[in-house]
Amino acid sequence: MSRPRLGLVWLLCIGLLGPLGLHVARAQTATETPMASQDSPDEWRYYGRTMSGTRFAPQDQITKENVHSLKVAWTFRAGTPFHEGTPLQVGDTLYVCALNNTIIALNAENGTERWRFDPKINPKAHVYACRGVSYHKNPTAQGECSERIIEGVTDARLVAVDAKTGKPCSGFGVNGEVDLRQKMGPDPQYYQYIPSPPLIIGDIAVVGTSIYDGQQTDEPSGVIRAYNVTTGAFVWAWDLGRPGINTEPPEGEIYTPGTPNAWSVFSGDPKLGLVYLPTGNAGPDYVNAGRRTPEMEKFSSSVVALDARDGSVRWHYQTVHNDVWDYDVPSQPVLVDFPTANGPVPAVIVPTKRGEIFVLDRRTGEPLTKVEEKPVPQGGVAKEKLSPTQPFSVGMPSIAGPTLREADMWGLTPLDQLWCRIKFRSVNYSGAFTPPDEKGGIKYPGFIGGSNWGSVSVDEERGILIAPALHMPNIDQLIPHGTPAAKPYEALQTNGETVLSPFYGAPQRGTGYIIKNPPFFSPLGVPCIKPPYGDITAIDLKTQKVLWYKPIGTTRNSGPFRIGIGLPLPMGVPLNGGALLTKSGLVFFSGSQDAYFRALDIETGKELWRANLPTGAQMTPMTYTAPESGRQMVVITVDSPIGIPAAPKGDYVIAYALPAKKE
Amino acid sequence: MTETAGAARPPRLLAAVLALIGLTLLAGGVWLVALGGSFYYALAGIAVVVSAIFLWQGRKLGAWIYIGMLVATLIWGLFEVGFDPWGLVPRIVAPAVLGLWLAIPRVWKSLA
Repeated sequence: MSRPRLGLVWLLCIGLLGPLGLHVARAQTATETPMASQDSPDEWRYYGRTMSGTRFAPQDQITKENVHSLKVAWTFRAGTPFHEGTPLQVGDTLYVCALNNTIIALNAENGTERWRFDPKINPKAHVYACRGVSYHKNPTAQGECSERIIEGVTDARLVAVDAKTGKPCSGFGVNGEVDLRQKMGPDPQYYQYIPSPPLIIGDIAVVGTSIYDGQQTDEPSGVIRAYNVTTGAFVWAWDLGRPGINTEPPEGEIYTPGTPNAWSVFSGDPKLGLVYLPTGNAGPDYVNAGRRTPEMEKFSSSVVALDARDGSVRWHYQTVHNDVWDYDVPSQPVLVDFPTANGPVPAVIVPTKRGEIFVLDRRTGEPLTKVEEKPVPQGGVAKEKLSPTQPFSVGMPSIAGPTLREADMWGLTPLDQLWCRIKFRSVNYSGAFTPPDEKGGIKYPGFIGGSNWGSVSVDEERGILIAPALHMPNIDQLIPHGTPAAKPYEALQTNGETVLSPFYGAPQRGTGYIIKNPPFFSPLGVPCIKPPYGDITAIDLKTQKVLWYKPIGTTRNSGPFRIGIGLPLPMGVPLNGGALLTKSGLVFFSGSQDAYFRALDIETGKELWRANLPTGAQMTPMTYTAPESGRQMVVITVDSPIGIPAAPKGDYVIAYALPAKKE
Repeated sequence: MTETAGAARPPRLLAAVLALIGLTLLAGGVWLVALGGSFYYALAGIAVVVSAIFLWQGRKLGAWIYIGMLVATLIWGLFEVGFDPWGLVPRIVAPAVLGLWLAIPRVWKSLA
């Protein structure tokens, strides 16, 4: 070849390969190493077992064939009640929190107490639930606090204690604590509280807080914050009122008040470096009327993916536009490899109170199953601009239940059924998203769901999604401030003064209306809709069809005016909490009002085992292999049955196992 | 003295209770119709009141009307909710329990 031609060939080669090389180089510098994760193949180190939150455990010692012989292995009495708590298991120790945020470490083999730490909650704080604590192991350090337990304390503190001793970690924050009330503005009512465990990803703890519903506009910010797990140093904040800024507010300023919070459990993908937050709306819940800023509206009732390194928003996906129904996303987003025509795609499953289950590509937020914006009822109070449509995840089954008809009205006798039917016809109802207004509108699903903090669980091997659901409508009525009917709801405060739980009404100061939103009950104290009130749906992820559907629970604790009739008639009763799935194809569920702990066959829904509990257990069960004996333990905390306020509050941790082999 | 059918006292307490219930059903039932709802309650209310009148008078026709109302209610219930036992409970159970009063031999025999 002549010289010029050779030169031309070289030029061509460089011209073609050069950009390729550059691209590779750019890709190499752009690819970050995955963030550290506490995930362990054998242990339960996160609320949902792993950072993905599938609640699917590899233990298979307990099988469909032998689960009928499951017995109590040990019982621990904490001396202080639990509520909604799921323990962690690391090695030979369980870590669980009581309702008063006392962290208790138990011997995983026999349930004896190793240590406890009581952070002594401020008596003014709002005590609602303690769903769990978080665990971090420092890969390089040894000694004191190299393994630590981190807890979001409900009076808005982060604490870190040594996992071996329960002593506060001296190097964390100030005396082992980080004060989360700083930069939040005055909060004398302790509206800011924490019911869920922080997410540990890399070397940070990502903390969401819950903001007490319904009191007034400009309640504390729903800001999401990240702190270093070892030092407690502030790392970043996502305050949607200050877009593009991830630092603490400067001296004299506070995080933007009144923004949507994210109070439930987060999930995370350490390879993508993303955390997934389910968000609420900019409260008070039931009135917008132009009050919410575009930024508040943009991120409300959504799932938001934040870059875990700097808190910037990677993508967001909204499940309700202009939410005036208190339809905050309550469920931990669950990360799975979702089967598609083009192979498995890294996905995030987003269950909602609405009963809609969204499936999105967790890299981009794009739906992987069909979503339709459907027209919904209009109306509402003056100045409320309702969205003409709402997104419906039609590509996946809904667990909402059918639209209510007058014929679905219920009661104990023809007389209270008649009352329910008259009420049904006297208020507004045109199906899902009937807006609240002065006449009153039926909201179904109600504000407890659909799905709630129990979320869904996924058997990744069988490709089956298990979705518990509650069915209980509310009647939402907005009553203008200053009118006689509004009076009982206006003067509400927390902490020592007259309190009407926001479950049945709230003052909503600053919006012009109080909200009155009781559950839709007959005068004889039973629901106005016919059962079932609690059920489990199994969905085949590959076909996106319902595999089986089963009402869950008997009437033994249910009855008029919350007095249990004592008879265990199968009906489908209210439930709370999530399901534990195991490799051997079992579904463990404890959250039914009738206080039975059940094991079902994941392929058919058939009940294979049932145990009597001392009282209800509104939580998600967990399981592990006890290191010393090799026995698989299934563990629950027992607190109280949903919907029965007078029931005794339980302080039990109970472990079940197959009977120990005799020597 | 021999006892003949109709000689014993008619079930006036039951009749009074049924009249009260029937009037409530009728009043509420009319309200429901006015709201665009089901006609059943107004019709059932009329049937129960009529049965109450006959029962007060000690006439067996009152019992038959009540039983007929129960059967019609069951059919209507099946039409509204299908074979859903819990769905049928409010429509059938309490009225049937009340109706059992009529099945007491002394009560049944008191009707002519």
